[in-house]
Amino acid sequence: MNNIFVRYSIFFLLAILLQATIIPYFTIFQWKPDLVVIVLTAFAFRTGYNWGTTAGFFSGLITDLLSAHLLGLNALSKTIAGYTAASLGNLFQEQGRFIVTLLITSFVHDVVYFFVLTLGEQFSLKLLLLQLTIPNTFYTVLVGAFIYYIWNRWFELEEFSA
Amino acid sequence: MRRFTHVLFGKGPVLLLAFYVFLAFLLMNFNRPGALRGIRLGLLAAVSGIHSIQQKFTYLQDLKRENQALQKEIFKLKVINQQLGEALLENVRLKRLLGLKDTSRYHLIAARVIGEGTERGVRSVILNAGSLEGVRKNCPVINADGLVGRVLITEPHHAIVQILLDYNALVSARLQHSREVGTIAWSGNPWLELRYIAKNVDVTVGEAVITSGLSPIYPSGIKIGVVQSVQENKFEFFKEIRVRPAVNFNALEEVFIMCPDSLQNGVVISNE
Repeated sequence: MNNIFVRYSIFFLLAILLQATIIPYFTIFQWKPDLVVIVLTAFAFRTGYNWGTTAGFFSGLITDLLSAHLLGLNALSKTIAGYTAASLGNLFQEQGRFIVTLLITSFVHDVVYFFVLTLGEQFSLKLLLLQLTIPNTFYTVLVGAFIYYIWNRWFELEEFSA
Repeated sequence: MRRFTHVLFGKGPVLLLAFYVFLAFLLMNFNRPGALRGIRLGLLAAVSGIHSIQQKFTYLQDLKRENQALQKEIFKLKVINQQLGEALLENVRLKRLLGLKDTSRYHLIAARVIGEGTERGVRSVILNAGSLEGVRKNCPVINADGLVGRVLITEPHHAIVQILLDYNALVSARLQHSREVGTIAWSGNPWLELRYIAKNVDVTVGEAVITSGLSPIYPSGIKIGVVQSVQENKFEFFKEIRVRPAVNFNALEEVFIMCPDSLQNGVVISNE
């Protein structure tokens, strides 16, 4: 169990650093994948509610420290994302569940994130969904699916498989 | 403490979720506590480290292609050539910057973009110059093309800059020909919006939009962009003006931080 925590701590840190350094090169228009959400989904999926929610809060908090925005914004959205991923982990038991979980988790994360970010501004929900949330979600799922495929093929670890 | 965590973890996930959500909202109000500064410093150092590794890796990749015998000579020539090219480019940039219609004295601190903020949809950038180099909060950030944004957070050797492509970034702006003042804002599109320009004002496509100087943050005359399109909606009081940013935010590399404070190693620009 401790091994999982050590391993995922490294993954979280790596994801946060890559998000700030490498991922900007993969930005299409203003959309970019969220590696932290991918790692968080995998972690919450495996460890359940308590650790998933806790990891969401702290990974979000660290992400916030590298941003110019409101401290707590990522902490909030990733806490809810961690909780969502853990809930869905209990629901889906068959193969391919990780991708479905990631899709829903990433969507919930982005909805919360952009909703709070644009609170008080004049933005339509439709605009937020079509221009930011949905493209970002699909981009994250695409990258998540790629990592999932590589992970299963090369390492054949048990994290993502049923 | 142990009892507290036991209660949180033991009473079910909903209580834990509620606790963290409450904590997150508390942080939003508490914004930027000093206790977390050490973690941020560590993260910024790590980002800076990765950036230098990236540069070194690219550099080594280039070297491998070179012939062993000619490598040293070619390398020397390349370095000299590159330095000359950089000096030439810098010269052109500084000449353009000197053309700014700003009567006050500003010190320019050169900085390099080493990373981006981790938010999605909006972007902030991390610079490799900080408070020890003289960077202060709210200093405007420019490059040779125009206004980039302003400094939001400073650390000893790093600064986080809010760029114009940010929902919360508002800049008082002026149309260069008509001299009308409006507000530049961004709403998630590839263009900026110039708001609050009355319908009776003549605005032409291609007209430059510059900072008005009415804001205490941005000095006047810095180019923000050019008018891309003008539309009128009969239900609105103002024109809908789209502005194409002068700066290419996808290719930000070198920037200058304009600080009014006295500095030792900055470049002074003025019209005097």
